[in-house]
Amino acid sequence: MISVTAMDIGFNYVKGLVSTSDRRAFFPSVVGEPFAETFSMQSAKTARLTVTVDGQVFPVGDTAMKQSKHAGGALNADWVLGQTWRALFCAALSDLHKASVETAVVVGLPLEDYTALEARLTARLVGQQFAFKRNGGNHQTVTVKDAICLTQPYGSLLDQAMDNGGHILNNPFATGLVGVCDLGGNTLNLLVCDALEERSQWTRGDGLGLLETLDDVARAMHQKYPGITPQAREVSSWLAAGEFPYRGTKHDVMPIAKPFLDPLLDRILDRLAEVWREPGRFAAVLLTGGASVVLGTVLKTRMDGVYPNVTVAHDAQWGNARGYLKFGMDFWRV
Amino acid sequence: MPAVHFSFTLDAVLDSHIIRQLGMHPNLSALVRAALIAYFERPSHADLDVKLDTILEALRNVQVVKAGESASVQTEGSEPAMARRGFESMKARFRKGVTTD
Repeated sequence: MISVTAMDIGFNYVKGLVSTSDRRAFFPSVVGEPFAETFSMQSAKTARLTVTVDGQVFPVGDTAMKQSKHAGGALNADWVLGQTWRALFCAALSDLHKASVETAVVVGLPLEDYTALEARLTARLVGQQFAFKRNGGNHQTVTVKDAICLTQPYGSLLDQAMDNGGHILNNPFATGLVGVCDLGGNTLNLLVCDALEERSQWTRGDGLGLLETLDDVARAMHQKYPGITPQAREVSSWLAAGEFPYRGTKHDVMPIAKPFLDPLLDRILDRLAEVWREPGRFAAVLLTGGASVVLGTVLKTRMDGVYPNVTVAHDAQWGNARGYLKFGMDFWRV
Repeated sequence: MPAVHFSFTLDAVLDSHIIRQLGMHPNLSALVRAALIAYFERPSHADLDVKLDTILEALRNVQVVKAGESASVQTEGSEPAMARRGFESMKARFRKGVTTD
């Protein structure tokens, strides 16, 4: 029986799951410039995440953010075909598999990029051997026996519509006309499915996302609070917590963030009204994606009354990966 | 065992209940050591979040079964038929890499 590896490599974070254990991969989607292995990195062993791919040592995730002066994440949609994505993929494989294995892989793409990139991404996975070495670990080879690429919001929907064994549940997400609003770092995916089948006339994707707004908030915080230069990822976690530390005390983050978040919410609601013109047809709406951790509750408040049964997905940033895993468990019936 | 001594201060009014408990305890060093070990080894918020997520995820699939009845096993046969048809259609489209009607 082949294992299923579910990999949600987003603009913000990498989330990975596997069917054969409860291991998880979770780290920022950041890869630093390759460097020579040093004694301190070798002695740090697995505490620091580096992977050796194609003979080059890449710092990944938090290690890249701390170790490299030129850490960079995703900038363009076609990054999924490049070396950065491959290094993130191998780093996540090293979290999920502790030996050389064969596995089937489910990945996802934003709606906007799916048609252009799906075939090329799948071709770079199916039948390929990924050879890498994790810091402090042994050389591994993961062979991808088969691979499927889903759209990201369909993964989130399946997470709500299927049980952990990959069987379809009898609930409104599985049986009804459902809208999925998947808000990520650089993407807004609007998917509509009727009994799990996509309705393309109400399905759209575009580049509207949270990262640009987070950058604006970070700049405003830097101006108002001298001595800190926050990164977008920090601001995201502060917004989720509602407060941030400054000179040893906690401050409310909303007064400074609200002037930037409100226009983004307006743009999202405008986009919803434009694409989902008949809200009365829906049985339920699911708010999901990593950015819904920050905006979900506020967005729900403004959508209630217009759309029925608006639900903010629990633990939304894992929704896509869990849905990919459930899809794979059905597809390869493991 | 070489001993290291620490002292600390309590508020006679605000901490009166703690002072009362300490006064009754036969071995203060053992009590404070056990309390500090428990404090330092307590799970972090992140650990608790992961546990809570695991529990909530497991609860999503829990069925409430009345006494004398058996739980229904969710298999393809008991899945909603329309949803299964819709899902099979999407599986075929994803296999071909097509997502539009």
